[in-house]
Amino acid sequence: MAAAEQQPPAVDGGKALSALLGGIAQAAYYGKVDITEELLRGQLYPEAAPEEFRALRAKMGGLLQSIASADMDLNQLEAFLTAQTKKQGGITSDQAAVIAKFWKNHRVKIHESLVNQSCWDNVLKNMNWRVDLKSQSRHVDQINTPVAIVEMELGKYGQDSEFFFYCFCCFEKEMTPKQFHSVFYRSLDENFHQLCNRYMMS
Amino acid sequence: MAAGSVVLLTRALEALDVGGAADKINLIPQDFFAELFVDIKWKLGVAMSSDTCRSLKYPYVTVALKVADSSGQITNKCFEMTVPQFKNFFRQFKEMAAVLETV
Repeated sequence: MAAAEQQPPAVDGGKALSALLGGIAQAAYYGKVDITEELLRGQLYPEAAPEEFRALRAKMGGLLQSIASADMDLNQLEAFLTAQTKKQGGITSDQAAVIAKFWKNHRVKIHESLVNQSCWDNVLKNMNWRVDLKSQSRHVDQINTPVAIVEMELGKYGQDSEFFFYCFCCFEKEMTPKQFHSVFYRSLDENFHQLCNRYMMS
Repeated sequence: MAAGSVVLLTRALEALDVGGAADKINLIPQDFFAELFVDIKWKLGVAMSSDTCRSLKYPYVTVALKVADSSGQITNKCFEMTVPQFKNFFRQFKEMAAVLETV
């Protein structure tokens, strides 16, 4: 049985802890910087002294960080939480159950947030296209040729985008969508799919 | 319309603030000359780990586009996408090629 330190009294133990984990996640992973420790304490553990609450928040935050950093699956999670219940100053088995439930519900979203946070270059946020039959153009050889215009929205996560417009024509000297497509088609073999699948099953 | 006005046109479209990105493409006039695709390169990478996440395991595709303006000047554009986004990107070009053949 865990020799856990005295936990601060809570409004409703399980619910409050779950909400606390939610608040920690909002600040750490969902970008809600205005969720302060004081706000959480007042909402969830109003009877607790600030130092007690700070310790609880730090402990739970640390556990969530370890779990998220390892992107734990259910087996790893169970082993990890069980070990925490046996530690001096660890968690109770009730708390372990609340943490486990929270991680099951939020794992995908938190991992996605961590992935986005590590993406520092421009990303393609959106793409649209249309095909015109050009009836007028400053290029005489473009008239009556179908032309594809592509709009790409590029930008960094959480920042404004820029829109770029590019053309495909069916001229010999320029690249056609068919050639563009064949660049991928040539290289898209079994290895590519296997490689993707290997890293996507985790 | 000169290629040099690409920048002016995009700024003007952004200023119109017509809701989603889909609306912008419909506003491009018929005689608009956009920069032409010249070449594309792609690379598949997997980000294994980062300072905030030990087990990131995130596959992504980096694409490098080469486009040419009317004077022949080449610009490079580089960006990233997830593997599902890349598959969608690839599929859109396949559709575009099909439409261009039938028009």
